[in-house]
Parts: sequence; structure tokens; C-alpha cells
Amino acid sequence: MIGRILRIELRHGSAALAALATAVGLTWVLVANPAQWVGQWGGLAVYLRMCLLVLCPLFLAAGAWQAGRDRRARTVELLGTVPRPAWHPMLTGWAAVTLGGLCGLALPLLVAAAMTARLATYAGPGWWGPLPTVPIGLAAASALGVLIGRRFPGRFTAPVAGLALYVGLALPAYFPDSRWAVLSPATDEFRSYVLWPASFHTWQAAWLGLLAAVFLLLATRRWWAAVVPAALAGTLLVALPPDEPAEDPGALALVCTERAPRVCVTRINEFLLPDVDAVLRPGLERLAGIPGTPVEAVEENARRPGGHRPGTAWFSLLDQATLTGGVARRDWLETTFRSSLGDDGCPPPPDSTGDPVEDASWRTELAAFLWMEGDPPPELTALPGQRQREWIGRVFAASRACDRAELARLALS
Amino acid sequence: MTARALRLHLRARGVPRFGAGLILVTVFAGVAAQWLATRPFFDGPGARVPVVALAPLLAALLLAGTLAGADESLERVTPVRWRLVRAAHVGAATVLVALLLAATGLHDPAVYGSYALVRNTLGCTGLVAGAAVLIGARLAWLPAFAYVVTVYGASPARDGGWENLWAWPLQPSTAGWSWAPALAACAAGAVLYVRWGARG
Repeated sequence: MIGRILRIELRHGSAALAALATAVGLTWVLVANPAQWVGQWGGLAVYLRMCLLVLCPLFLAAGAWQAGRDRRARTVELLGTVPRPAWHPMLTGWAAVTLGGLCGLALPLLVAAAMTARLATYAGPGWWGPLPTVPIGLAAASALGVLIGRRFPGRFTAPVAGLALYVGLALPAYFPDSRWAVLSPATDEFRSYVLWPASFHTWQAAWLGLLAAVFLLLATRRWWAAVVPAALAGTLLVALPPDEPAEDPGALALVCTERAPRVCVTRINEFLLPDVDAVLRPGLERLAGIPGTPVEAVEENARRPGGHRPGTAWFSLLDQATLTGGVARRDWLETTFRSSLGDDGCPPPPDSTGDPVEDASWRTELAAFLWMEGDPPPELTALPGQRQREWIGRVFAASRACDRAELARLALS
Repeated sequence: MTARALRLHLRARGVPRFGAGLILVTVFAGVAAQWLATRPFFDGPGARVPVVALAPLLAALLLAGTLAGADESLERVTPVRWRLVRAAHVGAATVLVALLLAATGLHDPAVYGSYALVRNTLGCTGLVAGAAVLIGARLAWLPAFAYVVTVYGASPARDGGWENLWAWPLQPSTAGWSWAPALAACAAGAVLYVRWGARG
């Protein structure tokens, strides 16, 4: 009997609108940030969890819109005359918008999965771990929407409540160290190369599932029945998941070009290697043969604190992948590489003005960077070729050793 | 319009509820802006982007509810100069929202502060007023909501140029071109609403 109402709701209710809204919403956030997920299975799963920041408010708005429909259409009394428990239409309305919204997510997800499959070079064990929580979190959001929509059936409840939930879900991002952030389905704590244990995902799924049950029972005014899932959810709050995330060594294993000088990326970014190599090779070849300068360039994700490697320059692939699997900002990639040549986490010099005219050490570094860019200052080009290269080697070595005095001594003028 | 008629008109349009909501939004915007701007791990007043994007939108959503009466066609047969009433209604509401929200960003107003809040208020109320004419006051909140939320979701893509035009709700107030679409939306929405009123 409920199945028939559900079919009618799916066909004629707000489900189609919810599907359209979530399809457009997910497509938009996927296209807006391709670097987060293109070519990485783990990245896609993790980014989908970040997308819940937008999708949960949409599901909540859909639930609130659906729940307030009868009151807006002034058919509450009419429907009240039907010999059917009040929770039947409410539950089917919730199920319809939730199913509709989830169906709307399917198409953009399939396209994203196909695009990832084309480029992906690594799928770690359990990369799909964050995924099962997604439908449960969304169902909880639409259940909260139903609860709010039943209480406040106005036309503006849906957008205002949606925006409020958006702000609420965004709050944990401003408290990065808070352990309560695990309560939210939308989290930016996950990384594509970090594996969270299955117990953590189970805990989150149980918490959100119980929350959904509490919201639905409250919406049907079954106060006493709501106590049971609320108590269970409370016990989960006391027992926050103990397990800690761990980096996936397989994801961070280095993949390098065969010919020297080597350019290495982590395995999850292997599809970017040809482009990265093309951008960084000229710079590395310019440095080839100069003593004390790097002989390889390695992606920063593989860098460990304290792991000083004099022969290695670093570069960042943050926000770099495009939808087609290329490098988005070649100039930024080069900049991160060049700045790592002279930087080894040195503290900022206390008495420096940062002005190359007054500060000889800055002038020296600037001249070396201009040489790297192929635009050396005249006082450097005045030196014979071999002397230029020796000078460059000594500047970068002093710079990486944080030796400001040596840099000042090396000043050309 | 006598004072009593005015009072009844405002009540029928849900203005007291709008006022209460607006006060809540203003207080929330003020507290959130202050909190964001004083966090040591953010870049000071520049961290107020979420407030600048969302507070004017919320205020405009609340305003949408006041743009039409229970029965527009019935209202219009009454001998009242409705265009004047509508002009005063949308004008006063826009000025009120802009002033209240601007007061929350007075500290360093040029960096995602008062100026950007005023610009976004003008743009959002214009969008809502225009939508009330085109699709009715019941769903007038939808275009502005969808537009601002979409632009906000794509925030990583903003860096000058064309973004000044299409992503105006997220631009700093110093980006001159970002004022053009906001002012255009405000003018178009107000003119449409004053001329035709909300669709019945």
C-alpha cells in the first residue's frame, strides 16, 4: 500500500525537482574543483564527502519543501479525512525526495567515475570507505528537512533552512582541531592518500543513521519512540571513534621519469607526470652540472618533516589537475619548484626589510632566481659562463643552509 | 493611505516577520564577521567573504515574502496608487537592509566589509524583486538563491576579469565592474516590480 503512494510521490511530487537540483548541484561542484578528484579513486570518494557541504542543504531544502506542501496547498484537513495513519504520507514523501535526490546524483557520479577510470593509476585498499556514509548523511539531511518543514510549512522555510545548514556544516572547517568535526557528514579532513579505518566509517554511518531515525520519529510526533535512537546516538557521542587515520604508502610511492634529471610524482598523480616533466625539465637541465644544486624534482606530498635531501627540489601539485588530466597552471608549478631551490624552511630573517636595494642577501637571491627564469641581471651576465654557474651553485647552497651572511657576501654589487 | 491602512498593509505582507528575521540576520552577520576577522589563522577582514555572500542573500529571501499580498488581483481593484506603494516598499526595504548590513562591516569597510555588503544587498534584492514579477512572489527566492549559491560553490574559480561580472557577489568592493551587474539587477528588478507588481 505504501509502495503505491511512493510511486505516486516519485512521479508527481517534489522528487523530480530534487533530482534536478542535486544533479545540477553535484555537476557544478565537480566541474568547479576538478583538481580534487580527477584521476584519483580515493580523491573522488573524498571529494564526494566534501560535496555534502552543498548536497546536504539541497536534500534538507527538498525535504522541507515536500513536508510543507500539504499546508501550503491547504489540503491538510482534506487529507486528514483519509483513513490512513498520518505517518504514511510523511514517510513516503521523505523516501521519495531522498530517492529522487540520490537518483539525481547518479548521472554526474557515473560521468565523474568514467573520467577518473580513464586516468586513474592507483586505487588503494578501501578507497571507497567514505562512500557508504554519503546516502546515509543525505537521508539524515532530508529527514531533518521533513521535521523542519512540518513545523514551519512556509514558502521560505526550505531556502532559509538550507542556508542555515550550509553555514552549520561549514563551521567545523573553522575549527580544524576540534574532535567534534567527525559528527558532520561533510568533512574536509579526508585526503585522497590517507586511509581512515573501517571502524571510523561504520561509526559515522551509525551516528547519521540514528540521527535520521530521530528526525523522522520527531516529525511524526512519536516522542517516546524517538528516545531509543536518541539514546543510542548519545552513547555514540560518548564513544567517539578511537582509530586514527594512516597514510597510504602505496598512494605516496614515487613514480619517476626514466631519463635524468628525474622528475617524480606520487602514484596517485602519475597521470600528470608527462605534463609535469615537460614543465620542470628545462629548469632542471639548466641546473645540471652545478655543484650543490638539485638533480631531481619530487612532488611535495612525498616530503617528510626533517627529511632533508640536498639533491632534491620540490614542487606542489595542489589544485593542478584539469578535467582532461593536464596541468592547470604551469607558471604556478614552476614557481613552487623554483622557490624550493632556495628554501629549506628557513625562519624569516629578523632584521631584513625584504627590499633588494637595501638588503644585499635579498639582492643575491633575486639575481639567482632571475637567472633561473632566463633573465639574469647584467652584473651576472658580465661574469664568464663557468663563474656564473659556480656563483649560482653557491647562492642556492647558502640559501638552503639559511646562511644570510654568506648570501650578503656573494652579492654582485 | 491612512496610518491604520498602512499598518494593516504591512501586517498583511508579513513585514513584522520580515523585520524580526532581518534583525536575526544582522546580528548573525555582525557576530560572524567579527569572529572571522579576528581569527589569527585567517587574513583579517578578508575572511568575511561568507558573510558578504550569504547575509544579503538571506535578507533578500526574507524580503521576497513581503512582495505580494494574499490576493494580488483583489488588492489591485482597490483605489490605491499601487505603483507608489510598491516603489516605497521595495525602496525602503532595500535601504533598510543595506544600512543594517553595512553597519556590520564598518571595520575596514573596503575589504569585504560594508561596501560589498551594500553592493550584494542591491543585487540580491533586485534579483528577488525581478523574479517576483516574472515567476511570482511564491518562488521569487529561487533565482537569487540558486545564483548566489552556485557562484559561491565555484569560488575557487574567481580571479578577476570576467569573474568580476558573473561572480559579482564574491568580488571585493574595489573591483569596479562587480558593481555593474549588481546595480543593473537592482535597477531592473525595482523598475519591473514598481511597474507591474508581483505576478498573481
